[in-house]
Amino acid sequence: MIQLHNLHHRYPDGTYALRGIDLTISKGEFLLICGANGSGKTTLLRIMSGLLKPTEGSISINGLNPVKEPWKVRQIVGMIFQDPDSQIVGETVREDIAFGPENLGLSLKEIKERVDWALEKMGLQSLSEKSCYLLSGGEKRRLAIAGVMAMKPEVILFDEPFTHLDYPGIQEVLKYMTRLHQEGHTLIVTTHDVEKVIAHIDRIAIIHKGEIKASGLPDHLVKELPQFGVRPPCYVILGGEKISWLE
Amino acid sequence: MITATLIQTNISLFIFDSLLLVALFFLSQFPFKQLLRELRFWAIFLFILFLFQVLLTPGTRFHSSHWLPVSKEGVLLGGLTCWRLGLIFGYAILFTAVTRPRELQDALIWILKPIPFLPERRIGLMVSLTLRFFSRTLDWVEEVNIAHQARLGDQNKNPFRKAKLLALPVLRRSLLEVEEVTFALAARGYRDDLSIHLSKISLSHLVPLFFLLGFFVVIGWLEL
Repeated sequence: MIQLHNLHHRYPDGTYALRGIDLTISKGEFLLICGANGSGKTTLLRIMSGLLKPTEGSISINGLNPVKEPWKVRQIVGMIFQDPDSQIVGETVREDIAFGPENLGLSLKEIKERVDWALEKMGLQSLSEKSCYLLSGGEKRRLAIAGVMAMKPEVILFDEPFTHLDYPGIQEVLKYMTRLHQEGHTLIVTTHDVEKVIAHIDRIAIIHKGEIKASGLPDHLVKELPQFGVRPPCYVILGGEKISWLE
Repeated sequence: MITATLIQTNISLFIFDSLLLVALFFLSQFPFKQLLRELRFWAIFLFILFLFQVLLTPGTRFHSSHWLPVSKEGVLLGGLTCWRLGLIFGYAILFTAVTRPRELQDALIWILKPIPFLPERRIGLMVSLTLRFFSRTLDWVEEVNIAHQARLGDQNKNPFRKAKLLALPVLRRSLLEVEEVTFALAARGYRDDLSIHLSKISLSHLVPLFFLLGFFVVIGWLEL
């Protein structure tokens, strides 16, 4: 379980990125944090993964404090960055996936097992020796997920996972996200593009100017999205049923 | 071995290095057009260097064209300097083309490992990221150039303005990328204090090593 209480984050220039965030995320939940550009989504995810320290407030991830124990928290929480190129450090797909398990201090045998497992899980076996820079956008995103999966985290944070992806790329990523959710992982996704995930999430939290304005079931909140600078999904505008991008 | 021969001024060694370079280029199957493209910018630099050497080195002038402010020594010195630098560039291009960044990184770690108090894992990672950033920066430069062209930026011929317009977005993007990569490394649990597993030396790398060893043995034997 993730608990955020009265969380504030202020940048060195005095700008507030987050103001008094209160949020509880249950184990196995698929949560969408949506908001306009600059609303504080990425900062919130970085605090959850122990990469940034809040200036005020408290945060607990399975009872651990990311400020005091960032190393332990990063073993539980994996983060997929908006631009997969920032995350890829290896020369080949296999090498890149091995980076996380190596950092966990695992034996060579265990690293190999984890890499093979992650390659299979993300359907990357045939690309294992391919140079990372020759991959397509969708493949790079899958590689970024595989790199995190190899560390076997319980919670996975996705920062704008559909940016720069075409339709098959979005479907590919979405398919793996729903699979991870079904397997019991806690997924937290930030995006301003609600359309793509609305059919699969358990809950929406709307963030606006660094504050959580509303949190609840998708059907209850979708109509409120426009007032916070987020476009509601088509089914809300045109009327009808929720449509999954996987169909 | 090549470095040792290049610091000499013996022309026969230069001829040997040049022939070896040509042979290695053929063996590597490096595209000739690509080589010319890579050498294009360096050729301008070498030409300017040659002009400086020719014009500024004192010595005896040519009989046939006494009016030219050019000395025989200058031409010889300029020619040898450019030949030497050209060979260095050629070997550097060949080395970069046939060596994987991972192999460079492993070699560096292998050399640094016995030295105490040096974080070889961090240095290895820095090297691999630098190599990666270099190619990405070139991509960004290309992208910014194209973006400028799309807005008719290539119409402006002022080189300082062009350099400024190119450098600022590339620099800003590089700094942002560095910050992102730092976060990404931390998110994936990067640590300095873990031991490194280096891959085994392959046979294709051992063969030239034995060849080099044999060469030194022969040279040593000849010296005796």
